Amino acid sequence: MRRRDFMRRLVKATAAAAVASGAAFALHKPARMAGPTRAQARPLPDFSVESAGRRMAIVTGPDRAKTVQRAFAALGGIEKFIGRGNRVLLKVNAAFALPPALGATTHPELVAEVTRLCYQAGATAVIVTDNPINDPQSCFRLTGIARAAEAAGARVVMPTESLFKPATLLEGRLIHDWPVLIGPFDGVTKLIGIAPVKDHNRSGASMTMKNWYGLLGGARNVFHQDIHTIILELAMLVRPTLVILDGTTTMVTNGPTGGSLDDLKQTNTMIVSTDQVAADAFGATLLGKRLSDLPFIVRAAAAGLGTADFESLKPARDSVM
Amino acid sequence: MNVFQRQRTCTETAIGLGILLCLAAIVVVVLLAQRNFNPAVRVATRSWSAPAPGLTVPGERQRAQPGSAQVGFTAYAPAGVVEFGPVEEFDEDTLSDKINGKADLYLTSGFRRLRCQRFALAGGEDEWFEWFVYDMGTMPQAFAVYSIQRRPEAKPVELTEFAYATRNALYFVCGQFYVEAVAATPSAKLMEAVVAMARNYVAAIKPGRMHLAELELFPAEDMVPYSQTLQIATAFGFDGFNNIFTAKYNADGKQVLAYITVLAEPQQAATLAQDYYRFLIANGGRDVASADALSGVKMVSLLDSYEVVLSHGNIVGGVHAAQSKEVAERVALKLLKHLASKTGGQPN
Repeated sequence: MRRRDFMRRLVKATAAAAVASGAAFALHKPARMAGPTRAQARPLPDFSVESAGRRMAIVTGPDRAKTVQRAFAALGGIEKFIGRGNRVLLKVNAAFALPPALGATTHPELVAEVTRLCYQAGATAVIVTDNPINDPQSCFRLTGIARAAEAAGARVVMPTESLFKPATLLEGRLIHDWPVLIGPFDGVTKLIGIAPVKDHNRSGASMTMKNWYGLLGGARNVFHQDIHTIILELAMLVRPTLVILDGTTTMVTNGPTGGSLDDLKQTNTMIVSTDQVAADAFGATLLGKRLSDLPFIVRAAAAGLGTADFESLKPARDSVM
Repeated sequence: MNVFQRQRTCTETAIGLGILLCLAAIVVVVLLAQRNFNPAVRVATRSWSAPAPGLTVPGERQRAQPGSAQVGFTAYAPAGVVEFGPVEEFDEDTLSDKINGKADLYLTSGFRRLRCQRFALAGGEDEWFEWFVYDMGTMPQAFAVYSIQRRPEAKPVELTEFAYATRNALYFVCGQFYVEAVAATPSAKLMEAVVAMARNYVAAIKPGRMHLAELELFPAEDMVPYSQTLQIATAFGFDGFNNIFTAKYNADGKQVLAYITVLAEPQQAATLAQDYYRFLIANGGRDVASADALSGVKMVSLLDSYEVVLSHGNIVGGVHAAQSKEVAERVALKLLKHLASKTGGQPN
């Protein structure tokens, strides 16, 4: 081949590759998104209270209202975290249209009590939201969450399509141009995640970090194939003020839906923590699981999101009957 | 000189063949991987198409149209029980919209369709239950999802061969259907209504005698009651282990899992047993000599537990994750003797 022929072919091939790449770039549209809005690189602010540090309270007792009150008291009072004029978002687990007795969702008594405590601390608004797996109206109604939240003065925000916006976690691999329930966060200054302790068929457990899964929209079930990574990325995406892990009853088998009261174990424990990794690590003990059974906790700790050695936080312990 | 007019050298021919072989190997690997593709991924990544009539639409979460109530379960409701919601239907594309992380269990066990509906006691809105009917395609597949989720402390119910109740729920197999009825509260009145509805349903479906001959291949002595299960695919993490029946045995105060699967030919059983043995070794297992009475049976020590693999005629069986060698041998011997008494013949 002559040099001239070689150069000619090389130029043609380069031009063809450039045209193809340019066309692909121009035509690219994230398939999962309904609208053309560009993804936000930092879709959610950091809601943590720096001065509070990493704290944890573990209170035993059968009454959710009493144990959560005592847990906040053990941490120095809810005022350490919620201040006057704050607008607080409670991210509950309302995933299934099941009654509260089955322990598959956040208990309405706990939602009501935390709402009341937030207002008592000076909050001007409390918003309750989730993007359930089943029909949202049925979920919020049959779980009792809507009625309890509204009775306590909170506003329940249903996950309508307009409330989802595409989001990207820059350091993530899975959350890329993915619809996230960002709308309810408008004007919010504090975020509290409230989740029950549950066995989970895919991830091994569903607790505070898995609870953020309810912020995802779209065909999110695809993430079940890499469940530990998506939980890790959600924990990176969401920096809450606090998490509340309700281990009053623990769904020890057949999670995440359960169905039978026999799937539940009375464990009488309430955990309030600024460290979601530590909260989940403690929750694992209620499920009788080791950290090696729950890789998302180990990975979250390795990523610096918290500590799996919850004892290192010297948790405040108390009991209330 | 034009390169295409030049004579090919042996080296070039060898490189060309090498590349072709690599490509062929890649194709084989891709095909093998695709063969075991998780159905949940297939479902989740499939582009949405128009839903079948009466199905809910993912994302929109539409309720079934009123007209679909005719395919609901009202006809089976006893007196005093009224509809508390419309019929909902889910196929393999949408099952996760109803049961989330549990969907995999059903999808890998032959799931076809789920229909469900809520009912309540007349005049009592807080006293409701949800009726789920999973069409699993075949009775053994329905038994599989029933058995894997069976609550150990639950009580059997005289309804079908496979039925039990807990304080607030009833679970049973009815032909190719696996039925769950989950009550909102553990009310006796509500559970009476649930059981009455189940009797109406069974009478209408007429499932006939449900018999799984494989269950009789397990010795009854020391078996934990109602511990038998069927795993349709990839039991113990081994791709080759499909349709594996298991049963738990009490031994020295601990529970040990025995398993069997029945194949068409003895040669297939021998090959499968050998493949599983190789799988265990490839995953860090260590070959261990077994007792004389178990000659010809493979025993592997793996992660502080013991596995026994045997083939007997067209049956592959063994013990999974026993905590001691003695217990593994004892249960394996019991299983082997029982297989011999049931089927005759000797271990392969």
